[in-house]
Amino acid sequence: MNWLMNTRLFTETLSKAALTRRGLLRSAAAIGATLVFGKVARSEPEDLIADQPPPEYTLEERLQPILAGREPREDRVTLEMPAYAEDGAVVPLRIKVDDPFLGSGYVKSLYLFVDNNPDPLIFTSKLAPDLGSVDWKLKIRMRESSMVRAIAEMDNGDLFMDTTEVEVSISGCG
Amino acid sequence: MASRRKTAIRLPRKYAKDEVIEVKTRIIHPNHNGRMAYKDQGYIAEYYVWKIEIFYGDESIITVSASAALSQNPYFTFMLRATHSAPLRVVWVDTQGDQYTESVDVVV
Repeated sequence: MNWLMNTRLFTETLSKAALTRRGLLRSAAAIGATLVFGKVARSEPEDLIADQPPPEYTLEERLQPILAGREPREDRVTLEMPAYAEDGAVVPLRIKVDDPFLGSGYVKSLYLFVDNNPDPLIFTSKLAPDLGSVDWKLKIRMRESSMVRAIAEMDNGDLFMDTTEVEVSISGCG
Repeated sequence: MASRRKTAIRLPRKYAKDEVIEVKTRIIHPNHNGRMAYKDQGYIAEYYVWKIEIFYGDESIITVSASAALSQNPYFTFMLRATHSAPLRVVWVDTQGDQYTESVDVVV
């Protein structure tokens, strides 16, 4: 808004006051105001402010729909993470599944949970049958030290899981 | 920043037909999780990449549906068997409905 008004002021000033000294000063002031306020106005993300943070979920709420009564076996999936993560905003991890595409079975879905995060479910995913291998790397946010669990679901419904404990120094949740 | 590309996909330099290759993808995105306080006014609203979908040719091979807990500038690395020559396309969708697409050709 400021920017628009100042631009109008500027053009009006130029056309009316032409090249008098006062006219020039006024146009200079208008340009200055445009630069200053225009910039401030653009960097205020007013439409991106929320009154409340998003809702929190418990691990049970997120885990139960995926397990659906099944018990995951601690086998075949490998979750690699640092034991100590300095910055919770960027915690690297690697998920591998042994021989996922050998024989008749393949990995249908991969899930990742961080027990103590506000929303423990980090991602769900779907995989095609013929990828050759599952070895994913990505980075996540962690609020605090927590158990992390990676769960792989095979096409026949078998679940495999690996868990690891990560200690976080600085929270990734602001 | 302006000159930096927002999205990228990287394949290995050399690979043979049917080899399982590592594909690296990333997008430049603030990925706000909605929990950061903004001065005294409340919180920076949620604004994150909630879906990463990977297409090999016309087939969707991987879909990741994420919560707000991916890091800023999320990267994602996965394995793929290079069975045929086809474009590999990655589509990122964020919570404001913006879509970002990047594509490279797999040539075997």
